[in-house]
Amino acid sequence: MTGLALAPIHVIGALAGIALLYQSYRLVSDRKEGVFEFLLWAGFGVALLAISIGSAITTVDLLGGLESGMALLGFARGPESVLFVSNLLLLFLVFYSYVQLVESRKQLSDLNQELALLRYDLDQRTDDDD
Amino acid sequence: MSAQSPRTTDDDGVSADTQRQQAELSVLAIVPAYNESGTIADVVSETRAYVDKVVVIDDASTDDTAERAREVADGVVSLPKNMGVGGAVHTGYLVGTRERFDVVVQIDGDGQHDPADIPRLLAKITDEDADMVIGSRFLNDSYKEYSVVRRAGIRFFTWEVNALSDLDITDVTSGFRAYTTELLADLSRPENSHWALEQTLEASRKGYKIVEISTPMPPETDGSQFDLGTFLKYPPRMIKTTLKVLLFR
Repeated sequence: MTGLALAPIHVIGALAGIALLYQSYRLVSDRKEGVFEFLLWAGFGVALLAISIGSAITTVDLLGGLESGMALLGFARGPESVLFVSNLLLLFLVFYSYVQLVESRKQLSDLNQELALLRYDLDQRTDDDD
Repeated sequence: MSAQSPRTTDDDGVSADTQRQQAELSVLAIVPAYNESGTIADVVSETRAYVDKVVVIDDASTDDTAERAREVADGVVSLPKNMGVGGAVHTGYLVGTRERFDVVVQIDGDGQHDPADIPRLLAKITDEDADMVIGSRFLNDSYKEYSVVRRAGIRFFTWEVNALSDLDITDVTSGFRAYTTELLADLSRPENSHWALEQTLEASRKGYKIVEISTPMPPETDGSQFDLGTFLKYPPRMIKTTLKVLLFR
C-alpha cells in the first residue's frame, strides 16, 4: 500500500512548489537580503508542496481534514472555495507588491545616498582647489 | 588623509604610549544630524580636537543644521531625502572607507555624547585590537535618567544580541561608537531603523572583536523619540532584522 495516488496535477504542483523553494534558497545563497521576499517564496513553496503532496496521499484524508477545517470557518464547496482560492491569490499579489515596494525604496535610498556623496566629493574638490 | 587639526589628547586619561599609537591612526568622525542646528556647531568644534577630520551627515534637516555645520566641519554630506539614522551613519561609513581612514568615530549631533571620551574609544582599538568600541550608558549611572520604557527596550535588544552571539555587552543601541574601517568595509548596509542591533550582530557573527567603555550619556534634551508608540513598532521590526542577519549575514 503506497498511499500515494499521484495525478499529473500533483506532480506539476509539487514541482512548482520545489521551484519556489529553490528561489528562496537562491535568495539566501546570493545574500539578496530580502526577508519578506524570502518569506514570500518559501511560504508559498511550502504551501504548494504541502497541498500537492497532501492531496495525493490517500492513507490520510488530508483534503477531508482541510475541508472540515474550511467548513468550520464557514466555507463550503463551490463558490466559497473559489472565493477562498481567489483570496489566497490576492494575498500573494499583495505580498509580492509589498516586496517590490521595499526593493524600490531600497534603490531610492541608494540613489539618495550616492547623490549626497557625489555633491560632497564636488565640495571637497572645490575646497581643495581654493 | 587630511590631518587638518592637531589632536590634543594630553589630559584625556590615556597613557602616553596610547596617545602615540592614536596619533599614528587616521581618524574620521562622522556626525549624523537631523534638525540639530542648536548643538551641531559645538559638537563639531569639540570633536575636531580629537580626530583628523569631522564630516557631518545632514539627514535632510528642515532647519539650518547644514549651514551651521558647514561653518565648522571639514565636510558636510547633505542627504536630499531623510533616510533615518541607519542610512545616515552608513553614508558616513562610506566616506570613511572611500577616503581610506583607519578608524571612524560616530558621535551624535545633539550633544548627547561627550567628545572628550573619544580618546578612550580609540584606546580600545590601539591597546586591545578591538574592531568596534561602543560607549555604554549602562556601565555608569546615566541610564537611570532614562524612562522605564526606554530602558526596558534597550535591555531587551541588548539581551537579544547577546543571546544570538557570544557577546556580553550592555548597550547595543548606543550611537557613540568607534570602528576600524576594515570592519566597516566588511559590513552590509544596515536597515534605516535598528541599524545598531543589526550591525553589532553581524560584526559579532563575522568574528570581529567588540568591546565597550563607560560613557555618561544623558537623555536627549528635546525629548526622546523612544515613546510607547515606537516601542510597539519594535517587535515586528526586530524580528525582521534578526531574520535578516540570521538568514543573510
